[in-house]
Amino acid sequence: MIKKKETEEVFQLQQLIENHVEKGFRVLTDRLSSGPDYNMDALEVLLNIADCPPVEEGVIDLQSHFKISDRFMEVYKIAGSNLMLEDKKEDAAEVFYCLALLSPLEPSIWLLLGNAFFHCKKYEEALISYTTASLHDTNDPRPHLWSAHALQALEQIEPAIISVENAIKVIGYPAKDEFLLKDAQNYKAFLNKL
Amino acid sequence: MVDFNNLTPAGIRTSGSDSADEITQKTSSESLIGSPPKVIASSMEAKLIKESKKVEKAHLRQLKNKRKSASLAAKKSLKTGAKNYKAKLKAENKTERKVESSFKKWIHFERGKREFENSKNPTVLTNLKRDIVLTTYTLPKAGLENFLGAVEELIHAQKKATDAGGESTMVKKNALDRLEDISQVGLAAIVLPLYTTTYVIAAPLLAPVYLAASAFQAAARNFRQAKASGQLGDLT
Repeated sequence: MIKKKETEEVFQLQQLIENHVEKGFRVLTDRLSSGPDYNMDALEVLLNIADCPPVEEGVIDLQSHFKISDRFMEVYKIAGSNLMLEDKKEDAAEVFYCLALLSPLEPSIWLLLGNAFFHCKKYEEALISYTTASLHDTNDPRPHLWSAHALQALEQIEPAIISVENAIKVIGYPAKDEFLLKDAQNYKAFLNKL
Repeated sequence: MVDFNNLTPAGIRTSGSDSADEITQKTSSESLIGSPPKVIASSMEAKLIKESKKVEKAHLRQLKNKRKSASLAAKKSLKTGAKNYKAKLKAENKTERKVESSFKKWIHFERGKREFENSKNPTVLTNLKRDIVLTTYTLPKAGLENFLGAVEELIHAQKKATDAGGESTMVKKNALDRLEDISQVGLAAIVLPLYTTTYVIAAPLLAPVYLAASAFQAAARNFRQAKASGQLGDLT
C-alpha cells in the first residue's frame, strides 16, 4: 500500500518535471534557434544532452554531467532575462526553472526564478526560490528582502518584517551597501505601519 | 690522583703549587680526566630523558584513555540519542520507511556535528552545511520536516564551539557563520512552516536529479526528432 502510494507520488513528480522541462526546453530552443538570442552553439550544447549517459547516483550538478559550460549557462540566463524584459514572465519562469534543475547550486538562477515567479504572481513558488537562493549564498541580502515583498503580497506582514530584519543583518556584512540598507530600513518602516 | 672536586667545566683546575710540567701532564690527561664527569653528566641526562619519557608515556597513556572513554561516552550517548529519536518517530506513527530515512539523516547530521565539535575543523562544518542544502533536493515529504531541526542543531553546535573559545580567527569565523546561519535559517524558518502544502510547491524545485536528467534527455531527443522529420525546418 505504502509502496503504491510512493510510486504514485514519484510518478506525479515525474509528470510535473517532464511538463516543466518540456515547456522550458521548447521556449529556450526557440529563442536560441531564432530571434534576438540566436546562438547555434548554445543550441547544439543543449541538444547534445540527448547523447549523454544516464546519471549515476550521487550526481547533483546536471550542468557538469551534461558538460554545459558556464559561458553557455550565461547565454541561457540572458535568454531568460530577455523574456522577462519582453514581459513574457511565464516563459521566463519555465526557462529559469530548467536552468535551476541543471545547476541547482547556483544562487543567481534561483533569484531569477524567484523574480519570474514573483512577477507571475506565484508568490509561494517565489518564496521557495528565494529561500533556496539564500541557502546557497548566505552573504546576499536580496533573497531576504525580496521574499519580504512576496510575503507582503501574501499578506504575511509579520514574517515579512522578520525577513527584512534578516536582510538588514546580512547587509552589514561583508561590505555595507548603504543604498540597500536604506531601502530595507524604509521598507521595514513601511511594513510596520501596515 | 685527580681531585674531581676541583674540576672546572674545561677539565682541570690547576692549583698554584703545581709545576709547569705537572700542569702540562695534567692538561694532557685532560681528556682522561674530563671523561668521568661527562659520563656522569650523560648518565644523568639519560636518566632524566628516561624519566621524562616515562612521564610522557604516562601522559600519552592518560590522554589515550581519556580519548577512549570520551569516544565510548560519545558512542553511548549517540546510541541513546538514536534510540530516543527512533522511539520519538515511531510514537508519531511514521511509517517504517520514513522512520528509517529520517533516522539515517539524523545520524548523519549528529555525527557531523560531533565531528565538528571535536575537531573544530571548518571544513567539516562546510561539508555538513552542504549536505543539509543538498538534502533539500532529495528530501522525501517526511524528511522536509527534519530539515529545520537539523539546521537548528548545527547552529547550536556552532554556538557551543564559539563559546568554548579557540583561536581568535576561529571564533570570529564561527560568529560570522552563526550570523549567516541565523539569517539563512530565518528565511527557511519563515517560509517552510507557513504553508502546509510546502512539499507540493517545493516538489518541482526539489526534484530528484535522475528525474530531471531523464526529462532533459527526452526533451532533447524530441527536439532532434522534430528537426529530423522537418517539423522545425532548417535551423541552420
